[in-house]
Amino acid sequence: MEIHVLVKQTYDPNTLEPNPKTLEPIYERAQTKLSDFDLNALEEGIRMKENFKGRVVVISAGPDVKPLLIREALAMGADEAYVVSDKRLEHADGWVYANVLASLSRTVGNADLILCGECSVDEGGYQVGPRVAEKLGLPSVTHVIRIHAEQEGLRVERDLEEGREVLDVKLPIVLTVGLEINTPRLPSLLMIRAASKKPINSVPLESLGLDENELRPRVVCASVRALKVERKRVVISGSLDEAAEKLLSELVREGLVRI
Amino acid sequence: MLSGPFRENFVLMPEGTDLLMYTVLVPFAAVFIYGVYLRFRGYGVSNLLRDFVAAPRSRITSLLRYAWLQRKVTLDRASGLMHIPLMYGALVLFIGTALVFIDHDILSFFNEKLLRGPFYLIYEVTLDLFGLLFIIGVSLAILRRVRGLKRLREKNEYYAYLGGLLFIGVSGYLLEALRLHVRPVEWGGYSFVGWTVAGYLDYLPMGPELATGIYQVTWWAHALITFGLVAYLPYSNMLHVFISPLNTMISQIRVSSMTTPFNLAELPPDATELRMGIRTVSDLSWRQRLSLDACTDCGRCDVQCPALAAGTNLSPRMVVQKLKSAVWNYDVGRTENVDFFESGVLTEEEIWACTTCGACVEACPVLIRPLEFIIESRRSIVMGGITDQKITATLTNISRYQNPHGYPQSQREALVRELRELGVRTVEEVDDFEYLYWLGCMSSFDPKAKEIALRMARLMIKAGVKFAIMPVESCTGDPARRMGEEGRYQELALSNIETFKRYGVRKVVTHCPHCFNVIKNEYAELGIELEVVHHSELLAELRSQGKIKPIEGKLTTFHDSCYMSRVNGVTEEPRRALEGVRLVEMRRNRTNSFCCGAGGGNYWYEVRRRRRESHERLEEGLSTGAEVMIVECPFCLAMFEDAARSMGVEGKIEIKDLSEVFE
Repeated sequence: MEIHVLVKQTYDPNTLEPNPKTLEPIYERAQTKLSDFDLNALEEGIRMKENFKGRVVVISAGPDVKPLLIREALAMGADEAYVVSDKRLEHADGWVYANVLASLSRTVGNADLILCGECSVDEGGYQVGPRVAEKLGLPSVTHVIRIHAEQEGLRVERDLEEGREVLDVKLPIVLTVGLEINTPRLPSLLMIRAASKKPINSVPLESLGLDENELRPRVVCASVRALKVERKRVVISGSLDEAAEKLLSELVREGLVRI
Repeated sequence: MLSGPFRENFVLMPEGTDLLMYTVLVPFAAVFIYGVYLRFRGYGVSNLLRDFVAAPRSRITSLLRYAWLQRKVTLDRASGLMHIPLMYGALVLFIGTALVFIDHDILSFFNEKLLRGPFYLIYEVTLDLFGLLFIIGVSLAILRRVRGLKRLREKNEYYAYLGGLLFIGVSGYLLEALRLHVRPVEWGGYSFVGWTVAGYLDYLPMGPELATGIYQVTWWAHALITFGLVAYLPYSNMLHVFISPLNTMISQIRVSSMTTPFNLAELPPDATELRMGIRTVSDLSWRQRLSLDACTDCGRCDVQCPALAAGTNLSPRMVVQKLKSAVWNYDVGRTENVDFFESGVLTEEEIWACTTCGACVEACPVLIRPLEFIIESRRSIVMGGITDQKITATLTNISRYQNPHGYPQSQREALVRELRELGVRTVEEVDDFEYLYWLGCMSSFDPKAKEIALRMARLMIKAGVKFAIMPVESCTGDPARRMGEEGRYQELALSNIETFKRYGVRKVVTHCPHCFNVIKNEYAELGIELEVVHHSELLAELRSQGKIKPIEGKLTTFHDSCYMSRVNGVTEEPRRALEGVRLVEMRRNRTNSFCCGAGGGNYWYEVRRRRRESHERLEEGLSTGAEVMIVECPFCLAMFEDAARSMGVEGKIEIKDLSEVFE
């Protein structure tokens, strides 16, 4: 089975801090990592490979893809990586990424299964999976939390707000997975180092044959700012009854409670 | 014809009994020898010899101390009282029997006789005396089982063996008594036990024929059971009579020393052939195999194990026993070289439950190191890619954020700012510092530990200690190492070592015992020798110089951290620092301290348990009547504060760091 896993490198939200004045994130001080959801997708792909044989290919694109992080993905058990690293993807949105990743996947070969996280930890757009499927003319199932291999195709469970949906699907297909699907394995440092033997293929953006339209973001981000929550620091004193009374009237005055 | 006292061999037995006996002995001896061969094939006799030749002096010292003098066995008085008579009784009886063999089967060819005259009389008295000791020892051992000493596992095999030993002892005396009854000799009184029993036999209505008949039956029973037990020995726990003494020779005494399977700095960047840890029998070294065979299943490690007390799945004794069986099953061809985890020999859960406190190593009377097997198992789990979410997160945090909690480094800035306000400088800014004050992750990120670090800094300033701090501090790597992730440990350690060298650090005072241990003992292997003191040691020194003094008052108890007490033997310094404070000791103190439950990475992940180590320990603290429990480790502090909150005893006992006692 040929499995392609789409993996995004994102800022680590834990290390993103706002500039105290402008409230804009200080990107230079932030670290990058592989998006959590995509690691779940990768883990699922590797487990399928372990059970049914085949090959797992990591497909990644971004403005500055770090080989070390790709190596972590390979260390988990993927066989090979194809990477487009191009400054022009700096402001890419779901549309642009889907175009790039779909073309890249097609360049690598016809996948039986394309896996990716249902969204990324930095933008959370939920766009790329279904768009890639559309672009490749494949069906897609989103929010997958369980995958069973069946005689023909797969049985997948979706986690929806109103319940679980179980679908029998045929390959080839694109599946986007949630965090619940598994716990991604952590490769040891030695495994990461040993993975340097596995190939990381760098693919130039031009070679994908995408036109200007396909590379023009549909969404333009105007600005990103941290929410600033000022605490009111009100101390209410008095006996329990008095204090409760005062608290209530305070909450009513703030419009948080209606009587 | 001999005159005077001498040993009559095969008396009351028909002619030719000796030949018959040796014929019967052959198959038993063969079984015994085959068993010993199987065991020693696993260790390699040449390995043992090489190891001995490498350091004969220390090997012999260790043998004397731990095998002959039973220094660790006797740490548990009752065990010593059982084991020493049993062991020396058996040994002397064995030597006695060997002398008979020499006398009857070797010297007789030369018409010589050893067992005669005064020597024979001494022989008789000695054997009767040690026979008694032997019976006392065996009886105590049986009694301890019958009365249900909890740590002893109920196994028929053990009862059978002890029963057999008791029979050998008792029937030995019976034989002696019957012999003296039927054929009294002048010097019979020297066999004082047999002589006394023979005196009672005279009251029985038993003619010489009947007595001789009983004698012959008992004689064969005595011989056959002895042969049987000897044959069974290498296949049973009694194997320990050979292997445990050997283990005391090859084992290391230090509680928590770890092997370093590679050096990251020298490793080719794409080394793929590296195996680490133990996952199959073939991963075990000859030392480890021998060590496993030394286990007597006494369970003294279990008694001390905090993870077991907390009701996790871990039992250090069972880790050793299970591995021991796995090795045996493999050696006799019962199993393939199977994966311990896949075949169910070990479970990942039990392996992760260990707090690496070292109590099992400290407790083992024959110097087995259960902790080593646990850490090596962790290493093999890590090599295969960990899938536990919290363990994964902790290790990811260590490498991504350089601290196991996962806080961004910027969160440490508040502490650095406040230290600066006190006048503390970083190693970048000054170079006339004596100590680097290594704060550790708890001081950096835990609000309470941060206040304590500030207090310690104030004490040092007041006492005129010249110290500086790191502008940025990375984890020492210790949690990664104890969790089996040697690679990530070395990555951090090597980078820290480089930083220490860059800033000319020579002396370090650490707040945390875990930082202390790894920087002091384990960084050396990776290329830096530093003088490292723990804040408790520094406080003791400042106290003795009269530079600081403790606030006296409330009744106080002191909780020894595992890594200062057991692992590094530092137990008196904190007590010296506390001199003048009303101190009451807990039952388990100093190197017998009981872990708070946070060690070995357990602070950051969770395994199934019935209760918490910290609760058990805090209860012990409360039972002393102390109003204050002093700790020397920020993790102990956090664990006990948490325990006090969830047990609802915050008003009864205060948890304080040692530095908080001083002004």
